[in-house]
Order: sequence, then C-alpha cells, then structure tokens
Amino acid sequence: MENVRVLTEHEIILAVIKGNKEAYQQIITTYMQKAYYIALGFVHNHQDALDLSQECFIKAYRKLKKYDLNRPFFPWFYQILKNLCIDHYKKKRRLNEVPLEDIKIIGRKQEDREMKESLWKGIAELPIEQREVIILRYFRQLSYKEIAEVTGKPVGTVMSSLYYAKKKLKDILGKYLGFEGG
Amino acid sequence: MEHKKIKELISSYIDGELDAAQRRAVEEHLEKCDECRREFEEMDKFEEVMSKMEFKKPPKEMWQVYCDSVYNRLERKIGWILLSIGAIILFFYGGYKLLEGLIQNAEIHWIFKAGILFGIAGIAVMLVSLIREQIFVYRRERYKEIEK
Repeated sequence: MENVRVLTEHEIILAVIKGNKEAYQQIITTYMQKAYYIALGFVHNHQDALDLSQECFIKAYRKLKKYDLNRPFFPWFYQILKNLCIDHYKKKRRLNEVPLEDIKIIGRKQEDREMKESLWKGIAELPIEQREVIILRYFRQLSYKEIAEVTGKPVGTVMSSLYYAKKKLKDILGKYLGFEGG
Repeated sequence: MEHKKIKELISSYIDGELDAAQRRAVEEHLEKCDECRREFEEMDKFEEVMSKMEFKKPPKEMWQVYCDSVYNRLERKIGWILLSIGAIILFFYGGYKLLEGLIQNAEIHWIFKAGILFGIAGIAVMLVSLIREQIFVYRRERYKEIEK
C-alpha cells in the first residue's frame, strides 16, 4: 500500500510560492468557512461576506511571497480579511445599510426580532477591537488564547475588550431580558 | 478585590477562562456582594442569549463551488490586467499616430493644432498625477504593514 504523507500547512504554502497554484486549493478548503463566517460577522450580509472572503484568498495569494513562513498562516490571513471588511463596512455605513437577514437566535420567537435588531446594531456600533473579539468569541467559538493568537493581542487585552463589549451589549439587551443593565 | 475588577472577571468566569485562584476569588466575592451577584446573574442571562446566536447556514452547494470561484476570480483579475495593459498601449499608440498626422497636416490651422496639443498636455499631466497618487496610496496601504 502506498504511504501517502499529508503535507503540513508550511509545506503547502511553500509549494504555492514555488508556483504550484493548485496547492492553494488546500488552503482555501481549510479556511473558507472560517473566513466566510468572520466576514459575515463584520459585514452582516451573505453576498458581501462571500465576496470579501473570496477576495481575501485572492489578495493573500498575491501577497504570499511576502508572508513570513515562520509564523502561522491564519492570523496573517485574518488581518487582511479584517481590513477588507472594515473598508467595506465603512462604505456601507455611509449608505446607512445595516442588514441582518443572515443572523438568528436559536429558540427565540419572531417577536424577538426587535431584540435581535438592537443586538446586531449594538455589535455594529462597537469599536473595531471590541467587535472583532465578539465575532471571534460568539460566531467562531474561539477561546481567549485563540483570539489572542489570531488578533495578535495579549490575552489580558482580549479579556478586557470582551468585558467592555459584553457590558455594552448587555445594557442593550437589558430591557428585553428583564433587567435595566448599567 | 475591588468591584470593577471582579465585574471584569465575572465575564471571564462565565466563559470558563479563569484559573483556579481567580475562580475562587470571584466565588468568594459573590457570596458577600449583592451588587456583583446581580451583575453575575445579568451576565449569565446575556450569555445564554449570545450563545444561541448564530448565522444562518449558506447552502451546501456554496462550499462545493467556493474554490472554483476563487480561481475564476483570480483568472478574471489577471485577464483584466492584461486587457488594461493592451488598452493603454493601443490608446497611446493611437494618440501618437493621431498627433503625428495632425502636426504634419499643413491644411490645419496652427491655432487648432495648438489647442489640441494643450489639451493632450493637460490630459498627460492629469494622468501622471493620478498614477503618482495611486502609487502613493499603494505604498501607504495598510495591508502592507500587517503582512508579517
């Protein structure tokens, strides 16, 4: 039986840099869902998230030669994605578009739509460093350590950003959950 | 430990991100502090809603064609670049030939020729300015700062 060795991410990226365009497919397959859902967290719209996540793979492919092979791929990729999303979101905000058709709260009824809207708008209005930790924590279920790795920030900063973000969102949700917040 | 610090730790406590000593400090504080206990209860309710929040899943077919779409878009971009280069070459060559014919034509009045030349010079200055601006923007592009 042929002994097939699975290539490491480092080896795959090296192959892509050396001109093996097809090898990049493995990188895309590994990260496409993660990229899509993170983009969706930032831009709140299926089509835009799809476009931006794909655009990010294209951008990363073009910049791959400048990528430091000694560092993990995803945090590098994430920074490109985040900046693409922020630029896109700023344009959309100028048009007052805050779509929320692609989010749901399991077990909540239709009449909770108002709560969902308030929450979603609350997330959208958070400063970027708080919004990203909320997205990574609740939509990608990352631990504090993982969030720190992806964002390149210390765990303490992640913990603090998350606390202040939660505090703001908790205040927004307070009236729907039976407490005043504050 | 002060309230503010405990409130911050409550969030991480609920997330299961504290070490044993921190957990114990929070628990001990909660036993004797009504204000922080209320904060804990509110945060707990908040977590319950947040943990149930999720995105609608896109159709499975989307993932099947995702890779191909990236490759297609990559090729289209290369196509656009080649097309743009071709168009620029043709544009300048056509402009040059037009100008050459215009200058050599003795029947055309010199004022008309001067008008055309000034117009072309204006367009050239604007183009150079635009290209310079684009290069400047590219050099300051944020992505370049965060590649490593």
